[in-house]
Amino acid sequence: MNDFEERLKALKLVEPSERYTSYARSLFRASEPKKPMGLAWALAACLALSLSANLYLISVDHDQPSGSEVVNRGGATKQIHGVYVPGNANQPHLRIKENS
Amino acid sequence: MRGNEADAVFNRCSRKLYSIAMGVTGNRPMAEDAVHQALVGFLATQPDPDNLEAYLCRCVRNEALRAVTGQRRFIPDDSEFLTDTMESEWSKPEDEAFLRQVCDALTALSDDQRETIVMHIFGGLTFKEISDVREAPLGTVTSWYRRGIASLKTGVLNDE
Repeated sequence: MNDFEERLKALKLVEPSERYTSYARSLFRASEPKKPMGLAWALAACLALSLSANLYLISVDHDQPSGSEVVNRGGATKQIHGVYVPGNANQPHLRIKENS
Repeated sequence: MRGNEADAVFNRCSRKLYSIAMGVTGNRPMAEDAVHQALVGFLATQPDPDNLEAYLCRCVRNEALRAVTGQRRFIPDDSEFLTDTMESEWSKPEDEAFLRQVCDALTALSDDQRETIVMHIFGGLTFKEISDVREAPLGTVTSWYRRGIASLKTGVLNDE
């Protein structure tokens, strides 16, 4: 590059205007996928918790002794600790704890 | 998501894109609008080009050409091309005089020569990149540049 070109190059373009960059950024922001609303997030979290908790609720007979092992709906073997969930006697559910 | 990639390309090449549009329009608001219009078009359709940067550069140039359709290309704002967009804190009067001579001489060049010079000198695009944007052979681009610089130099020297 000769002197003349170097001199030209020294006439640097300034950064494009603030409007130029800020508007472009707003375009990119607007194109981002919309995030679910707070309520939708809360509902989704509740549903997930419910499903997760349900895996640990198993139907067992009332006379199943504490300490015996059962397989929950998730397929994991758990040990009953004898913590009953109060409720309908026709639907005997026993909440079990992780046998750590 | 191509929008994120385009965002990254813009962050990296905003000046390149701007200078491509400036080379065509010579007008700051028109150049900015051309870049924005190209981005809007890209984000609306989300195409999947192999080289996103080159694709966006071409889109910007097309938008700039569309903006000046039906009118003379390179329309400096009251002969304020570049002066409005360049570093404005001139310490020496001769620098400002040189700038004005360059602006006048640029306006007198052919469209191809002027675009190539603006893209290369002020936008920092390589000849290969200009060749991709213009979809012209590399030899043609360098020829535009060489002849353009010679004419520009002559124009500036004659003006001094």
